Amino acid sequence: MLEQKPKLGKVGALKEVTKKLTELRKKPLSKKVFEIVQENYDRKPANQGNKKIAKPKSDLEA
Amino acid sequence: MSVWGYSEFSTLLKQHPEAKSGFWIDTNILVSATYDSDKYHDDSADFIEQILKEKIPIFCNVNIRAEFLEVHRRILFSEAILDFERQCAKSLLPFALSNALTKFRNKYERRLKEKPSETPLKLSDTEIKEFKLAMIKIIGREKDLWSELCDDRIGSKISDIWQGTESALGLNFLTLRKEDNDRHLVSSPEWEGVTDLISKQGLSSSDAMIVNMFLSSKFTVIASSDSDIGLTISRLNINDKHCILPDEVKNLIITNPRLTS
Repeated sequence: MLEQKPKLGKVGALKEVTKKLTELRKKPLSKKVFEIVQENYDRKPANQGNKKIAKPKSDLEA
Repeated sequence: MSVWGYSEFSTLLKQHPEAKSGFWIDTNILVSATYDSDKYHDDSADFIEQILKEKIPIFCNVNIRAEFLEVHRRILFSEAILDFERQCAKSLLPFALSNALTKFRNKYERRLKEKPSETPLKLSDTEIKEFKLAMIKIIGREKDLWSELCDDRIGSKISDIWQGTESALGLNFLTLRKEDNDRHLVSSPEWEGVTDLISKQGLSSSDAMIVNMFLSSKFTVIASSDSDIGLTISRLNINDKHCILPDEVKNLIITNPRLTS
């Protein structure tokens, strides 16, 4: 049986992986994350008279 | 000499041409090379490019894959939690969660201020579990906060990162199959070797498994960016077993005789 040669990597290809990972890390959090916080807050009876909005701070400040 | 700096790569190959048959790689250098906030990112990424240009095959095993995924999981969750802390109105959160978020933010910023050139702080597994327990109790109409955070930032993406790294580097997996044993191992790695490295060198269990596999192999060089791996190889001082590290880490090891004695 022929001995299988080890695989070799591709020069320059690792940069693409790092770029994809960085994009994933810098991706803004989904709107759904803040909707869940709001829905959870709204469901609590003690909070009914004092409603707040769970939007990102930047939206509130804008 | 058993510890080398990345800048000594060509000298290492000249003095030990047998090393060209394959490098054993440590998790740490894979993480450094793929995580652009890591202190040694540029050094590690450039060094890996040099290995690839020399057409040297790179070898790893399942321990390295598991540790790589674990470190990236911690990075992704740490950053997602920091983003959440920055953007969410904390008055809508339970006090304990809000407090934990503020504490992590302060700790993170303090480290950044005190050691700006170091790799940013990551949450430990225990800390991630604490956030998980708190966030799982924040329930929306369809989903809880933790599950959404997982789907949003982690999902299948973490395994895509590994697959991308594996393909870019052409990683070869070493198993304990007979073919691998014959071709790449001097002896089967024994559990006693791992416990020896843990007890005598104080290595973590995952590092000990990686080093033990390297010591049982025919490979001459382990590429790392971790001082603990370099220190262990230096202290063991075994013939024809070398570790190559960022120059700064190598210098830290060799300029302190107490570390290598």
